[in-house]
Amino acid sequence: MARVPLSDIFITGPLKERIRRTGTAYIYQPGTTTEATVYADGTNTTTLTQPISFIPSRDGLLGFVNAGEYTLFQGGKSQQIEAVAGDQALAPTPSDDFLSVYNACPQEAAASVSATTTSQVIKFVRIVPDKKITAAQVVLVSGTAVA
Amino acid sequence: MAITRVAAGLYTTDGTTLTRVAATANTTSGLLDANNTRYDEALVPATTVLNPGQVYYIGILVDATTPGTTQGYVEAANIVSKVAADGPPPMYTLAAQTALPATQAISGLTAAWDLVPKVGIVAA
Repeated sequence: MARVPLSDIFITGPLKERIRRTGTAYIYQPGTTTEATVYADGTNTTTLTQPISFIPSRDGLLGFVNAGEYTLFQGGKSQQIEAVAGDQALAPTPSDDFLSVYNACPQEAAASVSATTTSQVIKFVRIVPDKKITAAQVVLVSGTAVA
Repeated sequence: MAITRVAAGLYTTDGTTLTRVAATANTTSGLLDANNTRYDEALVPATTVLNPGQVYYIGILVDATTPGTTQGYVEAANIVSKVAADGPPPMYTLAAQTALPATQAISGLTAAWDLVPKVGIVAA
């Protein structure tokens, strides 16, 4: 079964503040306080002991889980999460609040779309909507040196 | 640099081929001309519907009078390797194009695990 990195999970505001403050979080089976299995990486069988560490440089949690639903918990706050294989944070998830979701994703460097007159490279970016979208709009965000 | 064209298209896929189903009508007027700015561009046809859980691709082609870059997004190297093991690539590239293709075989694309530009879909 494909595993999903917990660092790709978008964590809502109040819960994230608690996780940041404590540096840890619990991953439960949905609707219970039964600890879910969290793996050290995407393939081997090594598991992590809960609570799971929060990595500030990634702005996300350590470890991997099998695809499925879970409850994320810390300090009296919880959030239902769905880990979807292949639906990585690298591929932006559409949202009504596009930029806030996007900027919450872990990022450590700037990349680029090159724009030249002689060699046009099309970039096909994978997206997976999390809800039905009608009257769709494409959102593009410029950088710091485009003008 | 002066940007002369920003073509963006929405593609569906059956796992082997990308098929363009919509594209932005505005491909020149002011697009990406300002730094650190968000641009929402409507798709044509306006009746295009995206369904949850289905994989789509947004194709982006940018031309300019002089070389330059638009800011994008890249993950840490150790995360990228996990993406390679656990899921399909977040992006493909296709070199030397002058327009968005109507259809494109995935086998003819180059998988890319980084340099993902900031792009997405929202409801109008």
